[in-house]
Amino acid sequence: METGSKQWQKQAYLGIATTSYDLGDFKIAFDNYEKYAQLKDTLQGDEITTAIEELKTKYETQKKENEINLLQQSDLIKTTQIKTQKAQLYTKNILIISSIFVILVIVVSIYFILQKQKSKNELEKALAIKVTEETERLRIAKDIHDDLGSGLSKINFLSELIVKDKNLTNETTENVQSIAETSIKIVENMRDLIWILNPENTTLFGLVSRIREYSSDYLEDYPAELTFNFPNNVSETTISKESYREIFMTIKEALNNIVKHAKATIIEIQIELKNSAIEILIKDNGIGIVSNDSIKSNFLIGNGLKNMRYRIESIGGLFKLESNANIGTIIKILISLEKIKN
Amino acid sequence: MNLTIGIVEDEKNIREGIALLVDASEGFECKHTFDSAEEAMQKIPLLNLDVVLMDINLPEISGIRCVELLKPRCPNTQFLMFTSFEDTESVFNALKVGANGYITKTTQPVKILDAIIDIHKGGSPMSSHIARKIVSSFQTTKTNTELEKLSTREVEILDLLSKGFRYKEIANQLFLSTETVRTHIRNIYAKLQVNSRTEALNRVC
Repeated sequence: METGSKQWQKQAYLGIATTSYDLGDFKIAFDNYEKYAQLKDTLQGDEITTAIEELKTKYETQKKENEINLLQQSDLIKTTQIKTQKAQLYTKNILIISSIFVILVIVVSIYFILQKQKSKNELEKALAIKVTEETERLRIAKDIHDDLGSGLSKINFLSELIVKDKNLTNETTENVQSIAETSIKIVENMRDLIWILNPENTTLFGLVSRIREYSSDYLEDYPAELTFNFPNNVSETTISKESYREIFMTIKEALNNIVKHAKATIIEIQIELKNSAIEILIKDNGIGIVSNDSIKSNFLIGNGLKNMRYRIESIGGLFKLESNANIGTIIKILISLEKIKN
Repeated sequence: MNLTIGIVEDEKNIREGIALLVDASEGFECKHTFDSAEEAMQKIPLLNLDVVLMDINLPEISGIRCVELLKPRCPNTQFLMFTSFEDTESVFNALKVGANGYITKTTQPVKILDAIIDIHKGGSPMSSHIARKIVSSFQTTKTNTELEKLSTREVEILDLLSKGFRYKEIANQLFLSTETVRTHIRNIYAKLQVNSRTEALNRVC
């Protein structure tokens, strides 16, 4: 504004000077021209200053803008850096977490595997101990059988030899006969004990056949009529050696009782397979167990019966005995096949 | 004439016991006993014995191998296996290589003598276990055309034997004489031995 009015003043001086000059008033024209020139110089200095000022302002502005730009750029850089860092941190975290997870899984797996191995080892160990014990037990039994057995066999053979001597009294012959029988019986019992060493499979078919075969052989010279009532088709189901032995020994004992005490004229052996159970009946028409035999033989029979019952019950079966004086005896054995399966 | 008996058994008590008993029995003579298969193989071929009682579990060479080697050299001698147990597998193997029967060591002496007489007469005792073993052995080798097959009658007899029937019962059931049943069983044993030889040859060739 000031500059503007000064411009106007300057033009006014110039106008007055020009007019005065035209009018011929040189003094006023000169004075005014001088003022005009002065003002013009001042104004020119002002203009330069203003230009400088303007330039200065422009420069400052530019500088500020640059600074702002710089600041903005550095901000951007910072943000980018932060973003990158964040991303890196995220990846890192994921990596750490998954590593921990994997390690955890491995550790847990190893733990379980070790546990399993341990329990397996323990089981194997226990089994090995059991097997060793069993083997050792059987080895001792076999040694005893072989050593004592052969000695007893010799006693048996020699007693039989003595029995052949016709010059002996009846009593001596009887006693020696008893020695022969006892010795062979002990050998048989020992053999039955270690029979379990036999590696062959025992099947239901084998058991039933064996019962028939043994009974025929055993009763061959016994003066009684023997009938079998056996099933036609017996399965080859494998049964445990224990059950095979206990059942077979029980039948042996039963037949032994008949031959020794019953005085029977009819013997019937019946085997029936029904409802997945095996039922064995041994019937005789003898004098029955309640007879007034000597105390000694009653005691022996009693023991034998106890043994038979014990054998059958030890393999989860039922043992029943019905005996009537002078009518006969029925022994009934009932066992679920499920219990004797191997 | 007395039957001449030999005994191969490593247990001294049993060997001497039986020898004494057999030798003292009427109709029997037992002057030769052997405690090993090696000794038996050297001497038995020179003796022409009627029946040899052979233990299965001998030290070194087994009784089964001993029969296998002796049988071709002593065609007139019958071999009766003598075992502690009714070990079907061993007995079966012995029968395959030429043994004629078996008895267990707990057999009563009288029955041992019966078995000796029986085997000398040509009888071949067969238990239910052995019968089953033979049936399955013929079943597994049926694809081989070179092998002898069992006749229907022989199969019938084996089936009854495996079920525990005795010779007399089988004879009754099949309307045969006991003697015929015996003959069939001898033939079955013979086929078994022929087959085992053929199989052995096939294995070598």
